[in-house]
Amino acid sequence: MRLSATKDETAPYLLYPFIYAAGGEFVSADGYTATGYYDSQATAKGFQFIKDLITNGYTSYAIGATDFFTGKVGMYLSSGWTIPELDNKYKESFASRDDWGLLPYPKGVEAASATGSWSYAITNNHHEDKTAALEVLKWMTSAESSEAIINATGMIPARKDVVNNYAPTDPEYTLLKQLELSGQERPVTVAYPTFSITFNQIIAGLGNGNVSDLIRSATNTLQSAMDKLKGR
Amino acid sequence: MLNTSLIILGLFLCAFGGFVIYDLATAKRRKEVYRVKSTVTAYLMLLPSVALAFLFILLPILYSLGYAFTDYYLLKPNDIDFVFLDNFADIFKEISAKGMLYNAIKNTLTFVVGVVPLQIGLALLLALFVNRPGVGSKIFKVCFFAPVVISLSVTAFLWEQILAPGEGGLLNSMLAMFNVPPHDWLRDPATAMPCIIVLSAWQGCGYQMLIFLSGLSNIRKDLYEAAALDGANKWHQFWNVTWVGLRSTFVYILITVFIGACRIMTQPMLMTGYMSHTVTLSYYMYNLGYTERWVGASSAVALLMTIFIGGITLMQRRMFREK
Repeated sequence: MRLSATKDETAPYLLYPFIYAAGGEFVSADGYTATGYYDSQATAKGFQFIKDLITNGYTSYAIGATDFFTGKVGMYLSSGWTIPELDNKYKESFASRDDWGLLPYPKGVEAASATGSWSYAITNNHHEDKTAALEVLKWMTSAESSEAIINATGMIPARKDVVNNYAPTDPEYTLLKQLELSGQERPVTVAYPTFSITFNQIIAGLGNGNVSDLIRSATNTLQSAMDKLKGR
Repeated sequence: MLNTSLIILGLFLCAFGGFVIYDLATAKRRKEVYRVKSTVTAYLMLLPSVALAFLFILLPILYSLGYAFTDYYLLKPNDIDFVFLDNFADIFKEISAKGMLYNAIKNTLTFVVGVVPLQIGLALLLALFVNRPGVGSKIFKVCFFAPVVISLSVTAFLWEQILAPGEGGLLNSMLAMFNVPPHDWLRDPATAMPCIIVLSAWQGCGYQMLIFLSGLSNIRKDLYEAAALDGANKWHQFWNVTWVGLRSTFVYILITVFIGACRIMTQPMLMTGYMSHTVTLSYYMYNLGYTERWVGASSAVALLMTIFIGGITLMQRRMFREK
């Protein structure tokens, strides 16, 4: 578990499913309320689960980005990009796919897994004729481009209709099935940058801090950011 | 925004042209024919650097000054309202509520108070150490200056490895030889900022060492001889000759190191992320403006920060003014 990866989106991306698995929530459906969601008892339970993993010595902040690949730790929380990495970059440690296995996210009161990758958008500024931009957007989200992307990166496709020949024993199959069955997006809110920061602060503070204090502070920060954005 | 920029650019060019015409007219009136030609040449040579300074320094400052009084949100560039002093009221509200801005101010002050004496002291010591002839001193000069030319991102990454938590960290593994248990240097609020201070002083002192060295080379050798003849020991020679001779160099270094220290951002950003125990004013400003997208509020912080740094710098200049 990359608990030290709290400088960017790594920790929120990999760890938010633990909160959903505990029945927790982050924001309301309209994306403008954090109070009552981010600081709910179920959310606290999800963070407590991660804290317990640290307290009981199952994970620690000392685990580095390459410790699994170099054999220092036995388990590693990651996502689809690690499969081609194991196949191509770490052949010395993992000669074949029989040398490692993949598990889905642990299930709590419900199952949840991390979704979301790159996104494309067109703005309404700068150009009156958006036809060409729309064409690019359509192609970038098409099955054709998705296939080109998986061929180039070795990752699982973003679209269900892209032909894939994964056997049920393939790790890609497990990952794909997990996404189909339990994929849940990160909180949808215009204050997402603030959410990401506060999530990182909670994770960084779990080692020595109290869960309820951490989530109370995070909720207050996120709520005031949302309040400010409401009028915009 | 483009139109406003063009208007400001036009005003700037008019002002610049005005200066040129005024200067030429004065020269002509005084019948200084030789000056007319040199004036035109001088202004033409000045134009590229002045234009660049205007484009990348003055124009952003003017924009920032204006935005400080608006509710400019980065995703709504066409919907900017004048909010007068609301941003400043929010700033003082957040400071009084001991929010992230309060931490940013506290951490920046801690950093400045720690790094300024350490970096200048180290630079002076290194300058005195290498200020002697010989091949050895040249090697030391290169060694001490080397961190300056390395990118801050690289040094931050390097120190992150040194300070890594657990037994794998270089510092922790060295301390383990003395039975000191491993420590999470950058996550512990008590040690994170001191670590950043040490690495910043290490990274920056080579540059100030060079400036001190140029200051030392300007001190006449006969002053030391005279002092020695008068019975001054090494300490007296340093205090009454070297230190006095370095006074103006010291003031320059003090001001530049102080300003640089107030702007610290890269190290905490790369080494710890946006955490309450290491966030600094520049990092807060960057985060508010670009991550949270509140350009107006961020500009207000920038304005107050500029006033604060400018005020302290003026005070320093007054304190160390030659009498």
